[in-house]
Parts: sequence; C-alpha cells; structure tokens
Amino acid sequence: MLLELRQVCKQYNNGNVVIRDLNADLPEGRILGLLGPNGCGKTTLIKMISGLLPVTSGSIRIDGRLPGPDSAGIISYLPERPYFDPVMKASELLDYFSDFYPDFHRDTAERLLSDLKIDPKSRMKTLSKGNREKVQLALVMSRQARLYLLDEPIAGVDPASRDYILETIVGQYNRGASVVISTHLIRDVETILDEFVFMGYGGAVMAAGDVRETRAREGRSLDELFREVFSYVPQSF
Amino acid sequence: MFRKVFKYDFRAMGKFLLLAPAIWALNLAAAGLIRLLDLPFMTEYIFPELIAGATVFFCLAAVGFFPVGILILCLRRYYKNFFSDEGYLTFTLPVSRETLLWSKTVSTGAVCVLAGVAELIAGLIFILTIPDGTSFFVELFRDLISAFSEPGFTLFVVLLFFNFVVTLADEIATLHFSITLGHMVAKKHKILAAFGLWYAINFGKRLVTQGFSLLFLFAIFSAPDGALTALNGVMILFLLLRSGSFTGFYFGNRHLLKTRLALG
Repeated sequence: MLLELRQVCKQYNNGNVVIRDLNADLPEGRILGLLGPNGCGKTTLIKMISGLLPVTSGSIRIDGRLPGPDSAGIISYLPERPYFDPVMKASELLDYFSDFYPDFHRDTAERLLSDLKIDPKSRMKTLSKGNREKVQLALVMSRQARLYLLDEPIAGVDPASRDYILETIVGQYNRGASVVISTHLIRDVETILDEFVFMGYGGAVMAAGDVRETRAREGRSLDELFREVFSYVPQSF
Repeated sequence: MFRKVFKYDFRAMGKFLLLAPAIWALNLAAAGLIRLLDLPFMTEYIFPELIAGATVFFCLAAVGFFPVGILILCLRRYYKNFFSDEGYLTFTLPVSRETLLWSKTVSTGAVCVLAGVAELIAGLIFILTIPDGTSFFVELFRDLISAFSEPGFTLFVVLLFFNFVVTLADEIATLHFSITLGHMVAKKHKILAAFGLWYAINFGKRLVTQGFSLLFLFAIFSAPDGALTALNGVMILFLLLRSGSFTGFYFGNRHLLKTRLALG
C-alpha cells in the first residue's frame, strides 16, 4: 500500500477532536476523492499526511515511511491557499523546485506555464488569485511524485478554469503514483475519481468505495449520494 | 540539503547588503560636510553649521541603523517563512526542521556580520576623510600593534572574537525563540507577543550580565597590575554564560518547531 492510515486521531490543544480512529489504505495508481462538508477534517488529514501536523495517536505511513523530510521527497502537496513568496518570480520558483525536488520536470512546468499564458518573469504578487493557484498547480503536478495531495484544488477558481485544472491533474500525474483530492465540489471532480471517501464530522468515514461500482450500484451520481448521506449529519461534532 | 536552504536564505537576505555603497556614500557626504565647516566663510555663520551638524548626525545615525535594519529584515523573513502561509512550502520541503532552523540562524548571523563589516568600512571612510582622521587612524593602529606585546592581550583578542560570535548567535537564537513562542501562545497580535517575550527574556538576561559586569569591575579594581588577566577570566565566564543561553534558546526553539508547530 502506498498510503496506510491506522487508528489516526487528531485532537487540538483546545480539546477539539477533529479526526477519530480513522483507518484507510490507498494502493498505487488510484485517484482518491476525500469528500466531505466544510470543517470535517479533510485539510487536517492532508496536513498530517504531508507532515505539517503531528498525529495525536495512531500512525500514518507513506510507502512505509513516517511523515517528515523522508516522505516529503515523494509527496507533492498543494495546499488550499497561495503559499509562495509574493515577491518571487515564476521562473525563480522553477529554480526553487528544481533545486529541492530531484523528481521535478522543469520543461513540463515551463510548458504548463506557457499553456496558461503566464510569463515566467512575472512576480506572484502581480498575478490574479486564480493564476497564482494555476502556477502552484503547474509546479506541483510537474513533479514525478509517488503521492499527490491536492487540497481543494478547484475551490477558488472559475468553472472554466476548473476543467483545465482537472485535465492537468489527470494528464500530468505519474501513472505509478496516487492522487488524493480533497474537495466539497463533488460534481466537478467525480468524473476523474477512482475511489472516494465521504468524511463526516470527527473524521468518521460515512461511506467509501470504488466510484464506478458505487455509481452503477446506486444508479446515481456521487454528488447525489453525497447530498443524501450528509442531509442528516449534524453540523458540529 | 543545508547548502541549498542556506543559498536561498542568504541570497534573499544578502540582497539588502547591496545598500552598503549608499551607506558609504552617506559617510563620505558627512565627512565632506565636516570639511566644509572648516571653510572660513562658513565659520562666521552658526546656521549653516547647525544644518551641517544635523545632516552629519542623521548620516551617521543611518549608518548605525544599517545592521539593525538588516537584522529586522532577517527576522521578518524568519516569521514569514515559518509562520505565514509560506510555511506550507517551507515545512513540506524534503528538509528537516533542524536544518531549516540552522540555516536561518547561520544566514542571519552571516548577513549581520557582513552588515557590520560594511559599517566598519563606512567608519573607515569617515575617519580617513575628516581632517586629521588619517593621523588618528595611524596612531590607533600603532597602539593596537604595540598592545599585542603585552601579556594576555592575544588571549584577550581571541576571547573577544569568540565572545562576539557566541553573543551574536545567542541574540539571534533568543529572537527566533521569542518569535516562535509568541506565535504559538498568542491568539492575536502575535508579533507584539513575540516582542514582549523577547523584552522579558532580555530583561532577565541583562540582570545576569549586569551582575557579571559588576564582577568584572571588581576584578579590575582589585587587581590593577593583572587587570588584563582578570578581564580574560571574566570574558571566559561571559563566553560560558552566552554559550549556555544560546544552547537553551536554540534547542528550545527546535523542540517547539518539531513538536508544537501548527500553521493557521
């Protein structure tokens, strides 16, 4: 298994339990949708897998490694916010990624930026929010990582750009790798997903499985199923 | 990986050193104004002297602020890289948090030392340009050379150097620790909290160092013949004290970053 989660719990200092006893496995070559309402712990879980947050109890293994500098070399992480130094130029970010990630393909990133009509000499602060997010995505998807963690990759962009982003994700990811996409915009992403997990409050798994099988079995879209599952879930844990 | 992180840290902060020629030009201008004051037609009027005096003062104040300004910019980068949204990039690099912190400490120290060197050059420009400055400098240099023949002076210079390095490292570690703790304990006004913590920590440290300064004075007065030997003894004590302080704050900060960091 590429990603193994065992009895993962996260409790913040204020006593809030965000995730409780979460177990999950993700094999290689799959695109997993981490789907749930706002505040259910999707971002917290992704932060724990990326090594940004420590787990309170339980364990996370990425290709057998604990989250940290070792695993960071095989994870390509896209946070849900702009995270580049606004004074840096896109070309400087290409240098930065080339220096730190041996699996980064500069020519791929340059091609993606060219497709997006973004001048590599432009500074991040001069770009619109949507374009900044596209630059981030281009850099993250230009790595030949083992695991891609994409936190709300389409939340802040217009519907036309969403298609481009989803095409980029599907077109660029390393076929031997897996992708975890966290979002609540299910209708937009369900066509590219192989597997899904519906996360409820407290990190409870409300439903999970293979997307195509589930859709065939239920006779409706994942989005419709999501609406039914979460129609009775309390809004706080 | 340290080399790569250091390269980016040093490059980002070192660019402010490009302001050094402006500082040197300011000093040259200040020294030039002092020369102008000696002109006969200027001495009859107080007003131009006041203007010139104030200008010289502000030029020299700008020079004095240079290393402090650079240190503030380094601390701003530390805060932004670690605790703003940029932390999402910094802490997901395939680099350990120890390496990230060590790079920030070393690069800040290196940039501050270079800013200090730039300031020394500015001082030299000033001294060598004002009237009688060259003879003053030559005399100072001659005194310094002859001082090395005194017993204990070489050891004093070596201790002074190590004290400088350790004191700089300790000050940077204390500032970094205050920023980290301030960010973690305060819900709002995190920078204000960091400043308050730094002030409180510094107050405690000053109390201890003032105590040692009294010890230093006592040593000098009680051993007028072996004043330099007494001074060296106190310098060693200072060195140990600062080393202990640096170790505590550096590793304390490292522990906080490894176990308690929670980006917003």
